[in-house]
Amino acid sequence: MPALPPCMRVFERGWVSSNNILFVGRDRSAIVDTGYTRHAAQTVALVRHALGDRGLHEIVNTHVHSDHMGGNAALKRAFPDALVRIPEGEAALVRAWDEAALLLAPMGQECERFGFDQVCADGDTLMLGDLEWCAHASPGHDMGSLMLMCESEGILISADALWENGFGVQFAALPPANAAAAVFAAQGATLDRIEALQPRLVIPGHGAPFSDVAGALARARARLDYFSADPLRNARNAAKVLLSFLVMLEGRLELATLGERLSRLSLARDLNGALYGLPDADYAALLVAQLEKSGAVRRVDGYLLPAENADAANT
Amino acid sequence: MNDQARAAPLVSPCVGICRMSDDGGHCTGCLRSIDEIAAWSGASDTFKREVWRQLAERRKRFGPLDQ
Repeated sequence: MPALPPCMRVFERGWVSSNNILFVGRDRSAIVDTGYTRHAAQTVALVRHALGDRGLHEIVNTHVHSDHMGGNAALKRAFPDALVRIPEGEAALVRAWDEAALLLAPMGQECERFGFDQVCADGDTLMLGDLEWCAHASPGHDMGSLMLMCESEGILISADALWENGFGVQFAALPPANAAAAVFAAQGATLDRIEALQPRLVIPGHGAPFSDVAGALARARARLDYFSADPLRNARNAAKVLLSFLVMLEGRLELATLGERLSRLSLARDLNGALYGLPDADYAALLVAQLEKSGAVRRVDGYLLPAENADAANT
Repeated sequence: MNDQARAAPLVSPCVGICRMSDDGGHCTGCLRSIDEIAAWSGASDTFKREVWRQLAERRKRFGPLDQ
């Protein structure tokens, strides 16, 4: 991986917590994305470890999903002077703490509530670690999400708009909303925008930073074409991702009660209704079989566990 | 050793527990120190291989991961 500027650090853990990008400038420090709430104490420890005696002054979120904003509240407690900045288009969701629109309750995910101090919109400039970053709208995975580009260093923080292998689930394209074509077009425009920005290095929301941007864009476009040809493919993928994330989050899930567990999650229930219409237990068994086939999970003594290298299979 | 086998140990050892031990010495999931977790993303392959080697030793000492 090409070296990062000395003022930048990336904390890469597993798939459940997004990457955290810490900036330590001459006078000010900032973090972009804060991981999942359950991991927040370790996130604070990592930040303290890297900052030493310095303070943290700004917490920035690329978008407001549980795996990107879950450490905000704990970091704010640890560093009360830090200002929280979220995308302008998502301010209303966070202000109202709408657990459905934030995709928390519908997916069985949790996030400690936090308040914000500032917003950020397409075209805004932020100073992070003495470097100038420009915010770029990146609709698709999340319609309000932002990417951050540092022109002088050629570094893009892409969040879940582009990974080394693919991109995040296109949530707004899921049934029953009849918006798949518009959402996929937005994701396509986001990929075009990334190409035009010509980053030499991309720091994705999950996985290691990568420099083969052309290769990643080609894989992402092929995947988007595959979804565009039949939008239910995105829905089938979302059903698998929901379960795969849940098993990584919990460590293990009891197979005997998995159908009942999924039936309590509104997104899982809606996807079953739109895709399969199966009894709860059969729906769970189908998803388990699909995830086993892709190598994301394994069955051990009546429990579903993440595969040893679930991260690699999660794309 | 083929390319895949050589690359395999260099994935992140994170198992998604991400909680430090009471004494702060290591993560109760992957058994890495805070130094090792913080350095991982920017570390050399040599460093990563050495961490993986040490983790195998630590796993013997701490016992299997209790899920």
